[in-house]
Amino acid sequence: MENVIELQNVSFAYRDSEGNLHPALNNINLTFEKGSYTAILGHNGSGKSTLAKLLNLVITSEDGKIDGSIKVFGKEINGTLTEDEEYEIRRRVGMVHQNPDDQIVATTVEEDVAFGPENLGVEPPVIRATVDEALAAVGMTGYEKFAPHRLSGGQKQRVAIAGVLAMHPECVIFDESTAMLDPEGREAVLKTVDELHKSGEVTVITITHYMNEATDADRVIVLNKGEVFMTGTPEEIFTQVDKLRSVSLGVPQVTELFYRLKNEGVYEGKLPLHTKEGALALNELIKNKRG
Amino acid sequence: MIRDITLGQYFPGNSALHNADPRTKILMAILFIAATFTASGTLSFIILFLSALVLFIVSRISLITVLKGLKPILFILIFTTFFQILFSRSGELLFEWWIIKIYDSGLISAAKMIVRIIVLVVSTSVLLSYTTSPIVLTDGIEGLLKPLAKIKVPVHDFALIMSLALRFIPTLLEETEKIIAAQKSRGANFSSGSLMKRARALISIFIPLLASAIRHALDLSEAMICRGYRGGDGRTKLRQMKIRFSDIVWLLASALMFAAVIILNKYGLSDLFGLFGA
Amino acid sequence: MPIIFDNVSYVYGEHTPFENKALDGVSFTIEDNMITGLIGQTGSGKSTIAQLCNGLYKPSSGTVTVDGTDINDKKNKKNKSQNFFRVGLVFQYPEYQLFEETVRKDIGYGPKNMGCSDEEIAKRVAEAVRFVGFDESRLDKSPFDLSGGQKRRAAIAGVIAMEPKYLILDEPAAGLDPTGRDDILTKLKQYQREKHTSVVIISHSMEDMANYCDRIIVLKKGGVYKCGDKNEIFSDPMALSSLGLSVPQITKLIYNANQYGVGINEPIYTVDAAYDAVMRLISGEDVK
Repeated sequence: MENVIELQNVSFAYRDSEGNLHPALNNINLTFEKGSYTAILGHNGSGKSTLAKLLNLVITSEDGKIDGSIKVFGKEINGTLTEDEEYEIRRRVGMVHQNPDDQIVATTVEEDVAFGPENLGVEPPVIRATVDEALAAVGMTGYEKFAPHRLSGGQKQRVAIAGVLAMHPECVIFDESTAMLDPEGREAVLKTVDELHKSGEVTVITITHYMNEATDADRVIVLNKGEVFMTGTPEEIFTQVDKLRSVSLGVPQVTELFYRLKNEGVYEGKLPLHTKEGALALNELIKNKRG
Repeated sequence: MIRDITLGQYFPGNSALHNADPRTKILMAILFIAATFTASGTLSFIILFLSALVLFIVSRISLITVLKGLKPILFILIFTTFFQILFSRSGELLFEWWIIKIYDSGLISAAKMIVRIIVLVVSTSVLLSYTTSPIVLTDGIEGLLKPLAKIKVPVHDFALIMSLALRFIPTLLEETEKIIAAQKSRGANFSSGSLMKRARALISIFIPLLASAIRHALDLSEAMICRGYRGGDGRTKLRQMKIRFSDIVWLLASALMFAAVIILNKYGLSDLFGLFGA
Repeated sequence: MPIIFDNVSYVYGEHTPFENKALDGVSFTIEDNMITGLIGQTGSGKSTIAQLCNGLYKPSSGTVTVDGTDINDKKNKKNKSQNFFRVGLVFQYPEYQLFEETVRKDIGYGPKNMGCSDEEIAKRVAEAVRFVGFDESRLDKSPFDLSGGQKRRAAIAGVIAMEPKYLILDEPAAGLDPTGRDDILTKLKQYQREKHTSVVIISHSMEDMANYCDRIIVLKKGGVYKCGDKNEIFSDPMALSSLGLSVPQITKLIYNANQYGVGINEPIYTVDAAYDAVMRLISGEDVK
């Protein structure tokens, strides 16, 4: 598989206004495969957002000291880039932020989605088609003329996603994009992310502190104090309950239940992450015990 | 709630004026403003009034809306009319009672004043507000000022600032409302107490609002960079402005109206009432 | 004495084209000396209720009674600001209202407006800071230099310092990470248990409700859907889910397992409860 992003021995320290350095990331080695879906978990201050922002040049050497090699689409970005090269990286690695309000720049939905293509100098008729396509992809067709402040948080966030998709990125990073949403909005955004991943054209990286949002990913990376603490499939990660707890991260409730049952010696078998497999396992367990 | 206010009083529609190019409408508004200020003869005023009437009818904006738009200036209208009628002391005396004397010239100049104010308000609000959304208007201004960009006037930046302001006004209003409610809940008193106390209470709104605006600005600039924004050069636009035949007709008609107003002033044909009066 | 809503309606922008009925003839009681959860979808009127409780909003019809008096009765006009102090209201993202030069002054802002003496203010600030677990060494810092979680604590302390009889918090844990979330809600529970006041927590999350509230009021668009203790409310989790509320994963698990015939009939909304129920089933005890 082709690697979209490769990080080798990457460390980063913020520089404050007095010139002092504050380490945020330490010796990160990671690769992201084309078309993969990765969830990055960690606390506030674990460095997860910093990592994401390094990948699309929101954080550059102007903000602090970057060590190591960051290759995005085979191009080393820790070094001098021309402005054109920088913008090309930002186009190919799109980012959806946390606060939906602060990403919407225009007074109508369609103009907001058009903002990216407009910046790229796309011809107007092509922009039109791109906007329609992007809005359809996030299920917001029919809202073209709406003013953003008349939309719910979840709808705004989907418009923001459409705005990123309209630039035809090859990788999209969701930086805690559901943190400010209500359950309905969160679900709608997660569904959009899932569809995006399933379309197979885009590499998806989500940054979150909700365990349940990480269980659908192909791979989970746990960051702690600026270092990669764990990496593996959701099954591999969430079954290590004690290790996660040691960095005060929890596990999905279903997993926690089976973990406790296992400790009690009543359950043997692998720890489920999802309700469906959990329900099946629970049924098996009860049946066997009842004999 | 504050968020429900309509900004700039735009009424979506599909009339010939709604569909006209914003640049056309801005130029037309300029011609109307110029015409109202240059008009002096009665005939010119009649033409002016009829032209504004045409704008109003074509726009299909309801009469109630337009009258509501005039409401804030009602006082000025009544006040100036009153003065013009009572204190003019030339021409023919039409009416006299106690110390009140009304002359025909007073009536005529009052009528002119009323027409002038009404045409000014109605034509500009129909052209620039009721039939043009603020964002389209911004495009129009940017389009008209574009030549200035050649002499390094940052036209695009101004237009962007305008449209971002329009985008964030509802958001900031909503936040203001919330901050006021929150500070009230902590006992801030905005309506009574000493001046110092009230000023203090206002600070409790102003500082959080400023902090919030800065937070929005920082986040927004990051989001804009992520979306490839790098200034106006090489940028295209989804919404294309296009001067069509109808725009040319509108402009010619408005120019004709302006010319007629000036010519009729000059040739003194204007004192139509005066002719009959003498 | 409790807060009583009697047939309360509230209409936003009455007589404008944007008229919107937020509450339609709602009646319920917020009981004393416990934590009440107010749960409902966005737009169900949760925040409107909060602002009706302390008199920021006046009901379009119906009465809101606090401590036995109708707070909007014209005879009580003088007591309007008293009501703000009696019913403390913490808005969503309250850190956005911090404005003083120091955290200490900001927390003391409410008590100062109440006319408290300097010693009294100092005492209240100290107590409020302890309740929310704010790091005391930072009291003389600017509130703008704090981390998100610390800002949130400072803002909540600012309302607690007014020593309100009722404390209403609109999504007090919104946007915090799981540790921050659990911590702030635990602190609020401790506060309630210690002060024996009445605390209302507004939230979307049934999980939080299940873990921290004694009594729950479920709202659906414009009205009360259900009102009662946890077991009553969570007896039909899927009905709540259809109201757009997030059902705890553990509740869904038990629901799904029951579809296969596992037979846990009591409402389950915490891992502890699920664990106990499963263990009882296995050991052969019947579950009620």
